[in-house]
Amino acid sequence: MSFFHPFIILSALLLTLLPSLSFPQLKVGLALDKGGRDDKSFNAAAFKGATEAKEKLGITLKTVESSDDISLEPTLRTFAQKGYPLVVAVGFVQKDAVEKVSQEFPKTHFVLIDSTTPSPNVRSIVFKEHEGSFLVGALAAMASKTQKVGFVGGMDIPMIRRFQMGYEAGVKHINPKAKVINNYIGSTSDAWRNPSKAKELALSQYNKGVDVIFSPAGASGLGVFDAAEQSNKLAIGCDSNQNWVKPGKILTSMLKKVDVAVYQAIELETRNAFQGGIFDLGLSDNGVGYSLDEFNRSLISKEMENKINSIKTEMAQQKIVVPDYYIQMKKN
Amino acid sequence: MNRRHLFQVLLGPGLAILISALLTAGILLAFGESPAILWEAFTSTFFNGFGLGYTLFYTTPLILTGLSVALCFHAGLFNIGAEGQLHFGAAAIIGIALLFPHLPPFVAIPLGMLSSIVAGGVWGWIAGFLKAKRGSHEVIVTILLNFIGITFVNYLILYPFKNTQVQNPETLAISKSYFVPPLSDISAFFGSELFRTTPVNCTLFLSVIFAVICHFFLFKTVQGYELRALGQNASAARFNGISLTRNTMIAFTLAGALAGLVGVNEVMGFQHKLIEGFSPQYGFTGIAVALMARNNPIGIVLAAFLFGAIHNGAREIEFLSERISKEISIVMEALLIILIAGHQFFIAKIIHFFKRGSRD
Repeated sequence: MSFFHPFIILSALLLTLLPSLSFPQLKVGLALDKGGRDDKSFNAAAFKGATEAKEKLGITLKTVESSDDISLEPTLRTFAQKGYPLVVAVGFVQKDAVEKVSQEFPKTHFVLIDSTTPSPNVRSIVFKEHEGSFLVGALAAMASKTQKVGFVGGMDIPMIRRFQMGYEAGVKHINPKAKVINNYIGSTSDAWRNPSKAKELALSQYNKGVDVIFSPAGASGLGVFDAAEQSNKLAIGCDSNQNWVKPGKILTSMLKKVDVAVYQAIELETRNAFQGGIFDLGLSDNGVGYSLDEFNRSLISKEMENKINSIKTEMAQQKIVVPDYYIQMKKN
Repeated sequence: MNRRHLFQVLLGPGLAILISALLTAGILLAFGESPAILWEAFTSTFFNGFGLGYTLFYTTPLILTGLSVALCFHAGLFNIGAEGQLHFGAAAIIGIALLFPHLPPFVAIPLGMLSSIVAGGVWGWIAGFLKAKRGSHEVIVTILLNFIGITFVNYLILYPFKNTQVQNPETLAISKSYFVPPLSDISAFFGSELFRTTPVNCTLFLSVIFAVICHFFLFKTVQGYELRALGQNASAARFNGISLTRNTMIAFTLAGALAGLVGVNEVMGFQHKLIEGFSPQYGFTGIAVALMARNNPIGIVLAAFLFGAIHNGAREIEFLSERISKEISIVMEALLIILIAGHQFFIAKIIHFFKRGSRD
């Protein structure tokens, strides 16, 4: 589990045992995208990681949400001008802004989540979403009684297609005969915050005989959970651990550990060990995964868990290679 | 305009600004925050080149949408459709720029501007046509045309013009010959660093010029007189041979053309591509700008600057305060609008009070 990461425990211990040992307070700027800190999914995960760092590492944290896409760039620039040594930019919309500002302020360190840029003072963190989706796809196929599972994606962009492709592969790995029904909420950024449309799509999928739906859709995913509760079927959460939102109705959540990545970056900065470059975090780096806690314990049997663990080992040994939409896209 | 008249015109907005600032400061106090940050945020938006650059960048589209709304107000019409019209203008520039990428700048820039004017104008004309010939209510028509226009432009961004290399919903970039120079280039030419790294560009001058043209048009031409006559008393104007149909269509076409020019600032001046959701509701804030300036084209330039500064200051407030978020700027804008809408009433009271005082 991400919480009990050895160095988190270690640093927490250090802080409790040695209160006299005070670090100079590191100033960290966190720039969120339009989703804001309450989206319960992607931005919320980044905010959680940074807040954890604030509590355990004693940094000063300043969180700023952007009011529109134009203000992303001046926000980053203001952080740099005010002398923040580390600025965390969350979301692929910030790619251009980080690229520009990081070149103007080569001494400031930046963290860019979900996109990449070549500047040496930027730590670009991307995730192998397809690997985590493969695992929840396998779980969905095992939990399904009707041999029909669903997928409700947020915005129709390559990243969500990548989730879809991994999920489908996971389903077929367990049950080659299973059917996957796919829907997307929309093609504009409104698709991230349209739970009512998500609910409609989910209800129509459940009516077609689907009994598990995976929904990487930001704040819209909450609509799918509603539909699951109403139809007494199952749903799968995304990005953050969302099992608690509707206990007993959420089979599991595919975790994209933005919180851990943000925490790690801040922790490195406190030790003056910041590293730029591109970090592509997959299953083996504990960057993606699935959640298992008291809210979904009863839904996942021991056999299912064992099966997933054996899949994980096979993936680590490269016996299973999950298809990656990005590679597929480049081939076409 | 004599001095006393000018005083009366400025008194209302001046008081509204003062009262809304005091009320906002009161809200800050209630949340245990020092009201000083309001002043700090506000000054940071125009006392340094960086803040001023962004304020002026937000001012530019607000001048244009403010003029668009005001022009229709003068003719007694309510244009809520500036948002859709400016989307159309921006999309037209992208279309033209992608179609003819190899034109020299002295052809490309006027062509880009012209395309935004025409596209915005056509979209505005539709509302005018439906109002004039079919008797549909312009408020309903423009609101609905906003939905259609924005959705259609989003379709253009996501399908025909899409840049498939990036995750973000945005179009391909336009070629360099279409770039309107940023003001930082001009100040750099004089060896100054003013406006460096800010997106404010020469479209600002263009919008101020259009404000002057609008003033001239409304108050010094026959056509402008006809529009205003209709706005003040439609039946009397028609009785005197002024065509309601023709002038309604003219007002909406011109309003659409002005709103369409916002695309020049956004596409040719700054992003050099079109991004889905690029407008933080410039069209609707334009209504507030026009109200604040009481539809006076020159006043609109000042009101647009104020609203630009508030919008820009919101970002600064996020940095200055732990408890107050950027939404405080919306509170302040709302207070301003309410006070402006009601100021005739307050001003009348105040003037009445002083007049009575002097007589006694």
